Amino acid sequence: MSVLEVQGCSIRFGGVQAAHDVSLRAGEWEIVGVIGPNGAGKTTTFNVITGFYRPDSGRVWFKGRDITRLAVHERTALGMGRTFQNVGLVKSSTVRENLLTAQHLEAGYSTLAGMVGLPSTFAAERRLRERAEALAGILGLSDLLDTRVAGLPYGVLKRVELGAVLATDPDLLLLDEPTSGMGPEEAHAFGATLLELRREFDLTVVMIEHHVPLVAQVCDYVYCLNFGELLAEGTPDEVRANPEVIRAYLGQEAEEVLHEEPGVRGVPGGVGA
Amino acid sequence: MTGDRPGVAGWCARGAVMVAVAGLVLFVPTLRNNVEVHIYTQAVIYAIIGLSLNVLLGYTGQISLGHQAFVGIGAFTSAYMVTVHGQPFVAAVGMAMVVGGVQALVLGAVSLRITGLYFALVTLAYGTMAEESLFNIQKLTGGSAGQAAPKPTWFTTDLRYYYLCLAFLAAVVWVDWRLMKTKGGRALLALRENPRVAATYGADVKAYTLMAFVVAGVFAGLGGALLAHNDTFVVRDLFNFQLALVFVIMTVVGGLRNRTGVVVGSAFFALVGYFFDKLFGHGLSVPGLKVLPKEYAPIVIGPMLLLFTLTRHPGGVGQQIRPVQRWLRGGRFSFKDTHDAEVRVSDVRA
Repeated sequence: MSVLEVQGCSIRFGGVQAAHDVSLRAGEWEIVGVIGPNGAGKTTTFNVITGFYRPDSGRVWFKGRDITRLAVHERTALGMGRTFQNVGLVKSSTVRENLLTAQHLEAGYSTLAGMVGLPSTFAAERRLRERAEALAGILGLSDLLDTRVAGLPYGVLKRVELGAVLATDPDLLLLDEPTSGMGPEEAHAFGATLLELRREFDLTVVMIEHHVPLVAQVCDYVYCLNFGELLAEGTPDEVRANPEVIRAYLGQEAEEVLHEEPGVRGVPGGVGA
Repeated sequence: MTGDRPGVAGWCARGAVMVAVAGLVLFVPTLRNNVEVHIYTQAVIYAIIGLSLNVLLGYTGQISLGHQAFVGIGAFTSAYMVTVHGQPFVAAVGMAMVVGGVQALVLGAVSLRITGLYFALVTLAYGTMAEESLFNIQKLTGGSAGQAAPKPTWFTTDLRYYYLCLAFLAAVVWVDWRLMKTKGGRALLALRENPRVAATYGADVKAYTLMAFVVAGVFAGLGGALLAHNDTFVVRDLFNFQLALVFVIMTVVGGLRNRTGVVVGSAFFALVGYFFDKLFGHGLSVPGLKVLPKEYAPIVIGPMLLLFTLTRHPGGVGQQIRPVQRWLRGGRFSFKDTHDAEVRVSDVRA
């Protein structure tokens, strides 16, 4: 059974067709990559999957359930977790507070019970704190627990964000450019971490990624988007060899220029336009 | 806060300070006359109102310029229940809290659509509307003559009533403390800063915004009811826009998201008029100007302190007393970290 299934989702913002008839699926335990040039509709697709956008047409299925009309927090409750391209954390809080906040649905008591201060909530809070510390240990954040998020370097923020998402206890992890700002070696190390986390937390992963070596290293299946449409899909090697994909990345003009007569090559504005 | 814990002498010093503060709050009023105790009670009630506004302004970042209506409706509801319907104090206060929560819920529903400056305008309009319409209902408010609100049976003296209000304040502080230490408060802080992240963490953003309004409304209703019975008489003229301004100023000067700071700031603004009057006899006479009556003291001193808070100490009183708080918890006394910007000036802007 597939964990996630997007069926022909389209969404339009004014005159821009941000996604058109996008379909993709992720089976249990799979790591699925979503690639494509800037503005291809990758993050839009993520927003449709996580519920920030409601598609104009098409459906989203999660664990055999139609979730197209569910709100973001309801999807989180079903076991969907996501990270953001520009780091989604409560910046004015500490790492510990973020890991606690992310366990919102794991608390096991009602907000009212917490407010009134029932004795059981004190014990529950202790459990949440222990779990936050354990998670921080796994991700190597133990020394930073009481540091305010706002001052941390970008790479660390990405790790904190991953910790926060894991704290929501997801079955499906949607990662939006988890290695942005990382060098090739860090990206490679992240791949190993990801495989480790999948095993430890029983995860299915869908990730938007630009590091091609990382995609080839960890992904079981890859979808390539361009101008809001699905351009190609297949194993990483198949997609990498697909001429359409190459053209999408290098640009139509580049392709033309490469095949034109030598004399036309000098036309200004061709490649970069 | 690891390492160097204080020794026996250190803990004794800390204990002495805490006993002194407790003594100030619990025993000094027994030595003062009724007029002054009445003012102290008002300070306690203002602290409850400050905490109410802190839930909105501090935790959700929504400004309320109509808080005089929140409080006033609580006051009149309680007075009406006791005087017209002969209900006991407990039922009347409970009713005031319910009504306060319900009207806040309605305003909260508006805040889901409109935020920032425009929402501030909505609350301003709401406050004015309440003054002009609700507070003119003869049955509820007794019109311009006012409504009687006798003190409850066991607490007829000013001193006893003071302790009763202190107990209510303790309950409000407890609820506020537990709220912020558990998942509801964390969700509120997350959604104030980044609703998208709060939602991905699994918090229902709309529901929690409404919850914050209800909590603020319940606190304000309670504050209003206590205020009514403290004066034993409520008149609608008390709940004007000036009062709403004082509420906002005392909360911000007290320090957003800082419980102790808000309590101290609110109490200060409740007391300032009286002590201003004591210090300057019959008002402060500035040459060439008329004498300034004491009711205007908060409105004159308030903006000055507000300016100081916004430009120098965005965390207000809460930020200034943090070294002391740290010391009381067993840390070292130092002025360092006082400037860590937990509250930013931009938080205060609507």
